[in-house]
Amino acid sequence: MSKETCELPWYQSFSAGCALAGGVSIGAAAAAFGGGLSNPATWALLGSWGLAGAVIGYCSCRLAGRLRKVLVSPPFDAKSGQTTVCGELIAIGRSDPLKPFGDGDWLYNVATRDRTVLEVAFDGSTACVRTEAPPDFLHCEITSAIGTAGCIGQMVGAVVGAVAGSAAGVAVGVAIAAGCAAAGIFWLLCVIVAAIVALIVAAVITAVATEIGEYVGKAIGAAIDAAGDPTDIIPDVAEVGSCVCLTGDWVTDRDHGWNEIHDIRSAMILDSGGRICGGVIGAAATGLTVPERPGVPK
Amino acid sequence: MNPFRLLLVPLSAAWLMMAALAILLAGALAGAADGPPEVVRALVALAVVLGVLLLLLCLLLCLARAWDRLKDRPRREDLRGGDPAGSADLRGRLPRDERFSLDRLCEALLTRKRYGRCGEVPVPVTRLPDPCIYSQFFLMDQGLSVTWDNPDVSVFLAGVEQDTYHLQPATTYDVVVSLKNASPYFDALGTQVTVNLLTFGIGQVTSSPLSSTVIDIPASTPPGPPVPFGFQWTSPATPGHYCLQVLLAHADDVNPANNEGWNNTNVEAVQAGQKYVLEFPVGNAVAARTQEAKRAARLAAKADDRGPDLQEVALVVDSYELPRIPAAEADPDLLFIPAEAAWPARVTPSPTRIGGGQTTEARLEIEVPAAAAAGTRQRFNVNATAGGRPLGGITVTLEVQ
Repeated sequence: MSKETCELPWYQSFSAGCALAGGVSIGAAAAAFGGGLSNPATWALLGSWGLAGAVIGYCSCRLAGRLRKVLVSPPFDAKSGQTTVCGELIAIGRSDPLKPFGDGDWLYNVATRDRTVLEVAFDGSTACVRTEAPPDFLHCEITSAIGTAGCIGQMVGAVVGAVAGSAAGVAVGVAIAAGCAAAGIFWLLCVIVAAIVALIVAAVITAVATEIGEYVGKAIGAAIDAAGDPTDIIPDVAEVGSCVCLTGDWVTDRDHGWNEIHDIRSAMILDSGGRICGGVIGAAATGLTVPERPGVPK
Repeated sequence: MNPFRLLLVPLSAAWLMMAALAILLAGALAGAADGPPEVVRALVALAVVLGVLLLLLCLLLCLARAWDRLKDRPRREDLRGGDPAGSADLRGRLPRDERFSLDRLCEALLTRKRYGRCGEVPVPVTRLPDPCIYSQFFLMDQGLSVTWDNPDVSVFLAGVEQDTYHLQPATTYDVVVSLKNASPYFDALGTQVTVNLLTFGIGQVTSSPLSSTVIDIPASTPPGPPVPFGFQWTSPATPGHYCLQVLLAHADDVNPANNEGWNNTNVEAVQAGQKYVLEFPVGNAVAARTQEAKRAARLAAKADDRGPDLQEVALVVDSYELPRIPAAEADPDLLFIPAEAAWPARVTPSPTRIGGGQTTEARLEIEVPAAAAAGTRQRFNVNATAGGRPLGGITVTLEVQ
């Protein structure tokens, strides 16, 4: 199987393009209200709204669909676009929600039988081998609301920040420019400095507001994660080494260039008891044994 | 003090301060000769509105959380009607420190741990019913040995169990299917059970329905006997050889991959030294029922290494036999020990190419040893895969006369 048949990850680049388009278009539109290039207000508006536009462009493209659902799943039986994969749980974690653009998704990496590399296709048909790092595994995730809410928060924060940032930038820039008349032969330099300061002040305030918006959004997302039936939060402790069967949506992650299960819709978790997972799972899932399960007396 | 609130309050305050700053700046600019542009004034107003809305949202959030803490809400089991029988610690309300809390939320949000050893799987993902049957397809996917003499399917005639190969035409049989639920948490309420008749062989595409019902299967905690689904079936008037296919379906199934089981057996009397031959049809249901066959064919024209060849069918014969041990005593390490063919046996053609909708006649040849004692019984399973994916199989039992 050839890795070269994999399509290259491209969605980050696509999102960056959206950011560029958003920044240029919205920034330029806002700057048009600034009264000309020699007016520091123009640069303040450009700095704040250009940044806000970039954030809106990037986030909206992220929200538009980083994951593409794949209806046919070559390695496994598929029902309604879903796939079941069984094997040993080799890593559990959660993407860092505090990291910028961190989505807080829960991740479960599964090594299938014999711990062999899965012949997982990027486009749903080819045998592109999906590997992140040895050992090889299938990446499975449960979506957290943090990612989406954080993204929305960023956009809202960017707009609010652009309002405040442009106002502050204009104020500072105009104030500096007002004193430029006394600068004599350095008048032009003074105006340039005023424009640069206005742009920086506006952009910094917008950036700070964007970050604040992101974390407010993430806080709300964390609350959404846990909202609903409080009894849903009973933990099943899955340990590395547990035997699992995960069923969920078979999707293509266009950021990374691999297929994965995202979201996991259902999971069967078994204690391996030191055994190879194939037998433990096979026996339990066909009713041949009554296996050990976390928190359930046998 | 709840740390979540510690986070929420300053963030909300920061937004409001920002809006206030925007207002002050706008006010200052308004005193200037030209005043601020209209668009700035409009955006400042927007900031104020957004800030206020955010604050209201935060307040509502806190009120909702507080309400959740005060109010006892019905458990998921109560809503579903399923009961995790025998798991007293899972019944009723949980201790307060295990319930939802803002502290836990905050901990989840602020924890920077990545790739830890343990994790918590959200419960709706795990606590679901899992109706199941002995599923050769699921087991083959796990790389395990299988028999097509399904322990969960039995056919009786006047109380005597029959193999499905030698069924008499126009004869009424009693069919019993044993249904299980591998979930320890929830009863599989309203499980749809369908039993179909397939022609004897492997990879049949067509089937005819025999019986179907909707049945409740209790959770496996504590372990209980399987739930039987029995019905009477009158075999077709046309003589033939048949396979029984059982399909289960449940909307909340935790593992839908273990819902198909076959019973495809043949028992034959043979003489010592005899060469036993069985011919049977092999189709390719995998290629026929999946769109990927079309894709694979299209891609194969571009590159040879682009995926499993679903038209390549492999047939393998072995003598694996499933130990009949009660579930409570069974050891998974001992249930699937592979066993090579007990007597010289081969199945041809293998590998072979079979397209979707096509059928090939396969031939199983077994040489019964001349020294085989009368009464000796040996079992032979023929397992078929298409592109590495389970396709089906048959089990033949030879009894030396």
